[in-house]
Amino acid sequence: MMILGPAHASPENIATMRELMGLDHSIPVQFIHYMGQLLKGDLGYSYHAGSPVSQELLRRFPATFELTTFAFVLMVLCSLPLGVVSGYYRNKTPDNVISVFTVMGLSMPTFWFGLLLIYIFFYKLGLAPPPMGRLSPDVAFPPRVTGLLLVDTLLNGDLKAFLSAFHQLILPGVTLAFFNLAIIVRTLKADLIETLEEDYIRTARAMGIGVKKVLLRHAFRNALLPTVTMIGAIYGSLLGGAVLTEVVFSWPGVGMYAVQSIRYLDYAGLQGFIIFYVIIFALITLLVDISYRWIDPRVQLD
Amino acid sequence: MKEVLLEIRNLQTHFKTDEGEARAVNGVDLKVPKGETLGLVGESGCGKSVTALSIMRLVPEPPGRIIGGEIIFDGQDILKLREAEMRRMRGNTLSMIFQEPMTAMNPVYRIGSQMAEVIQLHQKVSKKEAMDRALDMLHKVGIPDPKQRLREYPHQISGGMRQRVLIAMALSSHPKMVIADEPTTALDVTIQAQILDLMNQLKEEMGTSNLLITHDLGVIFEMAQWVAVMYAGKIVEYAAVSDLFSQPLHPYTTGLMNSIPQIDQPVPKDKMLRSIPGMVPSLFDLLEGCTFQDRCNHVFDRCRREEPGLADLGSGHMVRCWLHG
Repeated sequence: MMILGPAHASPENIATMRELMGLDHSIPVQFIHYMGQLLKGDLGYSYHAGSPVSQELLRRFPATFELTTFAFVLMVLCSLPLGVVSGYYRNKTPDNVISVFTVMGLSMPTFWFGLLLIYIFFYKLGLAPPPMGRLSPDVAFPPRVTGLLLVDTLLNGDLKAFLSAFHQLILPGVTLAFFNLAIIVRTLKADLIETLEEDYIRTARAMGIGVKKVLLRHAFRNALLPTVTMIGAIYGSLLGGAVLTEVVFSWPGVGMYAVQSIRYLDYAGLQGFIIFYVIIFALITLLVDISYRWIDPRVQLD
Repeated sequence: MKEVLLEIRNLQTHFKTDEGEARAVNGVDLKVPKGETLGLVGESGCGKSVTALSIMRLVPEPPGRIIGGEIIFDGQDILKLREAEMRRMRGNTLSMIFQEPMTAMNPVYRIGSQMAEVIQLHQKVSKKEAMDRALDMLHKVGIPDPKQRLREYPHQISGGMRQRVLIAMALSSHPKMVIADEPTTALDVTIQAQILDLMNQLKEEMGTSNLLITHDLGVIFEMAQWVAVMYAGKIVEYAAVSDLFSQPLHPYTTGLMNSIPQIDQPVPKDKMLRSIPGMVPSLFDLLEGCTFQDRCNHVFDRCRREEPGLADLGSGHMVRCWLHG
């Protein structure tokens, strides 16, 4: 009904459609068929997009990847220094100021913060480009090589398009980063405070190493382990689709696809999205576990 | 007595807690002669470790704070030094070894890198030269296959080996004085003896003075030339080791001696060992008079009214007790 529309929903058309979608079989048969196809990498056919789900997800993934990686870099670059400062000056002014911002980030829903940024920087100040996807409408898309616009525009030698793509990234990137920043800053701060109580910190001080060096060389790396777990989890969940942020900024990524699938009752699309999300998340978690070996030599990988 | 390297006068270190001000160190006086070992003995919580941390100026602050007194090390009051000057002293002329070798090294850096960092901090040498000196030091503290050890992480070697590495690190800049806070308590007995022998041998070789903190009088007897007995934040008796063992004066010292099992004497019929009755007094509101009054067999009126001073009975034997005042 939904797909055909009321004008074409004659009983014959509905029956043909049911057959086409496999809905005439029993549910267990449908399930087994779906799982079988899944093993072959076939996530089904998305009627609302008019293309196979896997193809659509792959087509959209670079947009999500570009946005979330940009946000991720921003987030890590800001949160690690903030966390160290917070941990070092715990309960003093710098820590309190940082806490105010991180709590703000944590308590504001991303869609609200995104809208706020659009309102201030686009509508009021006119500094940011309109929240309409990955490139300004008057700039031509570069030929697709990686699907990442920052890379493709440079490969194409089109500086204007590169700058446009970069401008478009800033607001959604900041939106995503700001929300997750708080979690990382707080984790790092807590672990740093705990690490500073350790015996080997006292040894380092007793050997004459200064407070700052103890903090940055001896405490930081030991405090990093739980923080890396947290950062990995956040990156994984972002890569799986920053749903709300993509909608607010009309970003044509996989999160947007999930929302459209829901809107059109497109099971195959939504299911495909969920499976895709799970796979990405598992991959990132694996990478995080492997990185432990590099941070902490006591971790054995065998 | 020989020339004095470290002299502490009326040191007071307090801690702010929820229950009030804890007077962990409440007027400590002691002296460490050049090239000799002073054993600081007392039960848990009497302020031994806080005294040591005060000398290093590493009392965690807050909650701790050095309220008053003087710590004269090598002719200058280190409580008056600026932090940068103090930092140059730590690990250089004044070193410290801690109780828990298992957790006292940074788990994420190789042993060589940690040692070289300390060496480069105090000696102007290249990284390579620092590594060579680290290797020398590991050799000196009797670590087998030291070249290999430099490349290993702390978790790859045993507790005894780690304590040797920490000793090597503490001695790498030839300090004038080493403070050792229960350096063998966490190790098993055979390893304890090895570490103590090593410390004695290095002291002789390098001419350092040691402040050895322990609750084990046996260790003091083996290691020290002088001994200070600490009780409830104060020194109650200070003497040459031979004097203290032949003629303990303070009732608390006598109590400590009686609680050591003697292998060559018959066990008393009534019980195996005599313990000191009662509990350590609260550090929050100390009693009027002598701090040991409630546990003392010889207590009399004056002990409850006035606090005894540390009286010198000649030949450096000092005691804080009205019986000998």
